[in-house]
Amino acid sequence: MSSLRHSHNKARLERYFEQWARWVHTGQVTTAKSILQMIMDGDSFDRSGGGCSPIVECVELNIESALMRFMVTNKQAVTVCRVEYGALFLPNLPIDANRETRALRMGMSLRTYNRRLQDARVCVESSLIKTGDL
Amino acid sequence: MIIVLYANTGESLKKAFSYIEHQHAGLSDHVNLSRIGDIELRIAQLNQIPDRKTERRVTVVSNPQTGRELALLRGMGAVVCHQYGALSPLYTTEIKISPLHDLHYVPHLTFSGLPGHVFTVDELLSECKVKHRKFRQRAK
Repeated sequence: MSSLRHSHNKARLERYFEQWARWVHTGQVTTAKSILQMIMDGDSFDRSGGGCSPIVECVELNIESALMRFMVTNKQAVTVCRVEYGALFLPNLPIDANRETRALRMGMSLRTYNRRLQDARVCVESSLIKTGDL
Repeated sequence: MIIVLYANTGESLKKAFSYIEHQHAGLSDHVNLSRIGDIELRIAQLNQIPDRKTERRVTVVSNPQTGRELALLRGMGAVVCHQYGALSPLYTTEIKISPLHDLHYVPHLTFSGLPGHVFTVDELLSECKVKHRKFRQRAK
């Protein structure tokens, strides 16, 4: 049962990381709401439409802030995490390059790359559990 | 780049080499010294290994039998890899494991419960490239 929950959490974490990587490039969080959703949330339709305020409570920001905090102690792990999920592109490296190629391009072995990635993932995962996203 | 692979069985060697061959399609060679009896001929064959500098071309030398061959290969910048497990009697007489430079591996892509110094084949290839790069930088 616990392994099932663990794999479910892992899949969710992967999905969140992908959302975060997209957010890093687009700089926006999708805020589209259906009319039914607006009614359920108790929103009023009387407001002046069109205006949007920055969203400060979203999983993408929580991941970014967790990584920023982790960067103080382990900068390389954060860089590995950014490269792995496509939030950071290395020059002259294809997007679909495998982990071994990425690791070598960053001057480290595959084992070091995997270890640093795991460190960053654990840090983000524990942070998301604290904030209630996971 | 030259990789020296010591494997306990032919099957293990085949597994490890097939992964390397898959990663470096068309740019990998296998030098099998076991069929040549004369040591001078074996050394002459080792001296003929082309393109030792780039990481793109990988030459795998399997099971060199004497310390002289191994010393020559180490001098060329080869990374020596020993299969993790029971060692053959050759290790008591001819072959010396260098604890700082040599690597240990298992011929599998995933293997649980390995000691920290033992690599899987994909990790081994990556580690060999990093070591080879360091060797080249030192040589400059």
